[in-house]
Amino acid sequence: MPGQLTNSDYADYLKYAIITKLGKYHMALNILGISANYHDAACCLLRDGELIAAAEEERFSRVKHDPHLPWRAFRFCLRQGGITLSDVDCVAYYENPVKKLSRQIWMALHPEASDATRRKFLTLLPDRIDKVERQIRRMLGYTGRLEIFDHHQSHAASSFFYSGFEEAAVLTVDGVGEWATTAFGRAAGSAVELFEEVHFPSSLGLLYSALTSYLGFEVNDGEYKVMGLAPYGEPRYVDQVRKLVTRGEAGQYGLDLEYFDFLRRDRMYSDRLVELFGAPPRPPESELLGFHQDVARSVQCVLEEILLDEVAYLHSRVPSRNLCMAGGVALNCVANSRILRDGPFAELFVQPAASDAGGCLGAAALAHVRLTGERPAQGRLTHMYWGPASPVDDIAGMLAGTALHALDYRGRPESLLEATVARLAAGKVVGWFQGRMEFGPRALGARSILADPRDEGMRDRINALVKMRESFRPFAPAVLEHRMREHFAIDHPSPFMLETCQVTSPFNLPAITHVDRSARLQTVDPESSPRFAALLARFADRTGCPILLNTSFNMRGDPIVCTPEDALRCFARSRIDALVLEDFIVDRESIPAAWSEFVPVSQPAAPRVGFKVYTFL
Amino acid sequence: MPGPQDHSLKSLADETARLLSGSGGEGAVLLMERLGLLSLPEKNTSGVRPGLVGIWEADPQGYERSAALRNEWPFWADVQRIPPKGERTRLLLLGESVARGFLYDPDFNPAKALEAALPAVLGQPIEIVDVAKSNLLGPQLTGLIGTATTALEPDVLVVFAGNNWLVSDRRDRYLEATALREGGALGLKVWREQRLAAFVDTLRQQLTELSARLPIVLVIPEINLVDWRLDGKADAPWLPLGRNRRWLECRKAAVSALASLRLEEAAALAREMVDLDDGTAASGWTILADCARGTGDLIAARTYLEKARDAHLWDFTHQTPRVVSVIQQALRDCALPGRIAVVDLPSCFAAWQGGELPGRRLFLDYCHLSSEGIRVAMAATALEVADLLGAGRPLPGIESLANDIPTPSRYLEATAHFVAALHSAHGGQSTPFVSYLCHEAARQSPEVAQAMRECLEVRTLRVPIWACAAFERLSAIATPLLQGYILNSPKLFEPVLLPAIADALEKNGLPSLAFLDELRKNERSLSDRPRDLLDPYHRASLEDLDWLEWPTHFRRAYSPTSRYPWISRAPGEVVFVVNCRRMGAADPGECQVRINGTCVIRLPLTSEWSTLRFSAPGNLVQSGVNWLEIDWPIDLPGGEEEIEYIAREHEHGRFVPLLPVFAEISFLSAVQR
Repeated sequence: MPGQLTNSDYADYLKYAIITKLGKYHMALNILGISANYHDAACCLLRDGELIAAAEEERFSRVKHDPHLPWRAFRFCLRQGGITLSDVDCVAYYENPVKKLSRQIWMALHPEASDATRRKFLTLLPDRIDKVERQIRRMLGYTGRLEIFDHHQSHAASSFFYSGFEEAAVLTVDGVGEWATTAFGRAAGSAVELFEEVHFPSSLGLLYSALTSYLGFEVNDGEYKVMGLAPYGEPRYVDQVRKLVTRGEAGQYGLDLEYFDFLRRDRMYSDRLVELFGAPPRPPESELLGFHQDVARSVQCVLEEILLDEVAYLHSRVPSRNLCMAGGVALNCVANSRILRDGPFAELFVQPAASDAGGCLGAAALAHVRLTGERPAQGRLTHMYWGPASPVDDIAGMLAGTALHALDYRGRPESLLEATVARLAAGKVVGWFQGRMEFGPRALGARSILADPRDEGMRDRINALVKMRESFRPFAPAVLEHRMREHFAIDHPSPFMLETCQVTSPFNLPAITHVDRSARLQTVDPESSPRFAALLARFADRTGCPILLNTSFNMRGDPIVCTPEDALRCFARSRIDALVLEDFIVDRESIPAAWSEFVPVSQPAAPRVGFKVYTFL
Repeated sequence: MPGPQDHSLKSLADETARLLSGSGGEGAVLLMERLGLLSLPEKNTSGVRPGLVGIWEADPQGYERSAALRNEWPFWADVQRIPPKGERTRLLLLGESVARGFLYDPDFNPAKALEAALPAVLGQPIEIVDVAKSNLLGPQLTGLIGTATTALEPDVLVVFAGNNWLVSDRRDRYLEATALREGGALGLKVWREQRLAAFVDTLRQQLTELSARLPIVLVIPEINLVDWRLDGKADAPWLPLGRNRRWLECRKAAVSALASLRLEEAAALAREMVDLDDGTAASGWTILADCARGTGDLIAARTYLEKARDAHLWDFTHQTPRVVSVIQQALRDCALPGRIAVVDLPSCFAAWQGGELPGRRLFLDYCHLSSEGIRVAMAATALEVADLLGAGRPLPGIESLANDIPTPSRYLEATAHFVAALHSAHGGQSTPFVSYLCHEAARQSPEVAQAMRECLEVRTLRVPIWACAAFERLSAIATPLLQGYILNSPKLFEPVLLPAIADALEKNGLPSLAFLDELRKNERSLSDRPRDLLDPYHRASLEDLDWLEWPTHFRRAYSPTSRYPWISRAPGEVVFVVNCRRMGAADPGECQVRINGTCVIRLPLTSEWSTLRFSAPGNLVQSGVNWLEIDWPIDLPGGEEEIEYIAREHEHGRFVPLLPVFAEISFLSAVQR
């Protein structure tokens, strides 16, 4: 059962894995997929073509967007799979380091590259040579078969092979990996073929990132803020944004490079872009004006226009019912909804960990095909609970060592739900830690902060208590799948918060409803997430509302919590009202005063990947 | 930015990337870097910041501690403001953690001791400006001398430093690799000695120039030769001609002979070790010193212990700070009559103790002084200051001067000893020294004894330290230093520290041994859920060789025996699963597995990762602490290829320990049903 593991399940699982299965799985085909050295390093285990485990390195290292070789995630995958290095048949890497080096050399040698860009490249060059293989051999100790795939090939495979489609058209769109920034493909059976690429420096991801930076948000992290800001504005600047992009044949497009500067280390746009919009860049954390909202709306509109053109072109080449998408731009859920609504494809699958982290899934699947000649057995992803869980007994032991008064609901799951619902209905904000951690950027009920979405002041309250984020962005709703139509204008499940839809609920839901009455919805299925679904059901029993506000369990600048210790630390540092750790509930009132002095701050929020410019080098 | 893409440039980039990624690419890039074609960032190693002296920022009223540098405050004196120079004679104290008075600071430190001693020799109070900094490196010292002596206008300067100069500069790595290739570990050691001597020569020139206008006292550090054992990191480096095997055989036999008090036999074997390793490993020297002490020859013992201290200069990995002979001698050569006086602590301490070797009486750990050590060192310094400033009155003897310096409170003394116990245990020190420190701590203060009791829980429970109820209780009675040390130390099994604490408490009227035993069993016992013995918790200490390259996915055995402690609630069979490999040997051979000292099985090894299972019979498993030990084969390859490989990696800035690898382990779990 993917969603929740009881303590006894977990103990049995590990025991079974380590004692019984260890050695058994050497007969299986074990492939570890790795994405690293860019953004969001991650690792996954594919066994006989089925996904067993996947996690981002940042969750273990506690460094947001940690790009380094994911040795902790690698170790987790082995452990979760009950295997050792001896049982690994192949390690699959998600990106071609030679092609990437070529693009980096081009940037450094370009006549207009800044000194800082050149210096940075030259300084990093010695470490770049042969880095991927060296790291995998030496840091991971792996000596077996190593397969390396292109960045967009991995993105494409990460979507198609986990979509459940027999055949599909494939579109991948991101900032940049090697040279490609957009790729068009067709997939059927075990084959994924990319037939057209748009190359750097033309890039929809970089267009969006450059304007994210112009609007005063962090590159690599603030793009979804632009998306969230857009509904407040009017598309007054679409003409200006359109000027930034030139359209070509066969899905090709280009950026008018007069307006951009990807060869600098301090910003991504040129003075011409500032002139074009007629206003200086917004300083980070400064007031958001109508102008900023209008620019956000305009860039979002143009992105959607171009993506619709791209999918139209793709459909002309691959007239399938099905579209698979991946790459960082595929996390733009507003655009996704537009593609599904206004585009030529009847079905859309977006791989939930669509950014670089998910590349490991694609690389592993491609390696499976290369080794067996067959499509991986993995069907459509129905959940994303591929990370680690924590045994209840360990949590009990941890809590016993504190001065907390933890309420113990072991063996009384109904009482746990009732007690949690009582807190939620009373307007409390609850940290919710259950089962295996999510893979991907969204908290989907395993490492979530939950609250009553009907509460008028809840958005501001959660922002003040824990998230410290911009007040303009609403939180996401989670709704029981079988009751989604009563409250949202959607006719199909949306389990991964990758689409938006209109809120049609009879309830007033201010905390999760955007200014345009849209919401970024998660539908919850009892099969995939039994305890979360049960909580929603109990909340509905009490209040009539089968919806909860669901946001990720982390402080601003931190990765989502992974372990019970992380959850406890976040609980202590924030002002969340209650923490539900598997079968235990801890209320804020029981936190000792001394914790405020001693609770450590996680790794500094300053990102180790670029925040003013994209991570080109 | 121009566009569209420059396709010819792209083709060139493609081709360049292809060539660089080919077999000769790495070498080509290395050559480009050596030729200066690739720019390396120039780091400001002096730490000099305009307008600042250390953390103090210039303003019209002198120097104010900069709020922006709050994170650095703990490394410096706890002083908010340095006033402008006034009428009083001003002494400027510079140095590193020893001069900071680490473990006693801020309540007691060399500056306060000096302030107490100087009126007796000068006849008037003197102003001490304390700009000593913990972790001050050599280049930072020279930078600070330049800025502080100009900005603060001292009348006399005291420099007490030399323990933190064993640092590797990335820019030296080609030269170091060459030295390693040409002369192995000895070649690298000699090269680094020359580098250190050159640094001290730079310092000497700076001080000589400065002494024309400012009298200077140089205090030459000493380290704890007797009690700080280097055995934990004393294995020989890779040796050429396959000498490692014989070296290991000699050491095993020498240790056995020494334990049986067959001193001549042990000394002969130790001499052979020193011949084999060219004096680059502490083990041989330490055994010779033990033999010399056994025969009462303290002069020889000192010589051997100093050689042990100096032996590991080749080591790329972290070493505890220490002054070495080449630094001490070079500092002695800085003396300039009437301008630069030298306080030679090795001689001073020897005289103070009647020829005894420096040990726990004068030191709390490797280099940090006890309160007695501080009083003696500063009394000697005060006498030299008085001499340079022309006291014009008869000077008292060092004994009365040192004894008149106020001593720290018993609470502070106990705290310093307890933090030293934690620090020493984490530094890989063995039971006798750690026990001594714990006993002193428990004996001197009931409050600290209570804190030690809480520490047993804090270090054993699985809850994070900051959330631990015992830590809350501890924080109510402990100094910020002790709180900070405990809060920031990773949890370890602590096979030495926790029993030492419990024993010390027990002997001071606070029964704790049974408490510890039960605590460990409740929290850490093996169960039917596999326990990962490669978790960093199971390190014997923070210096455990097998965790040298942490973090990595797997562990390397840099010692011929890998040791893993675990807890069992009761006797009963324990099942182990290990995944390991032994690379580089023509015949991987087999390892011997011991449970609590008894061999239970011999397992065949392979050069590829392989999974092995074995069990510890129930009758060998005891209630409480148990040890799994794996003895790896010691027939190592010749060493030349390994040295070449390590030199090449070093050139690329990838530091691989210059130590033989006996095996590698990627998985080790234990289950007790």
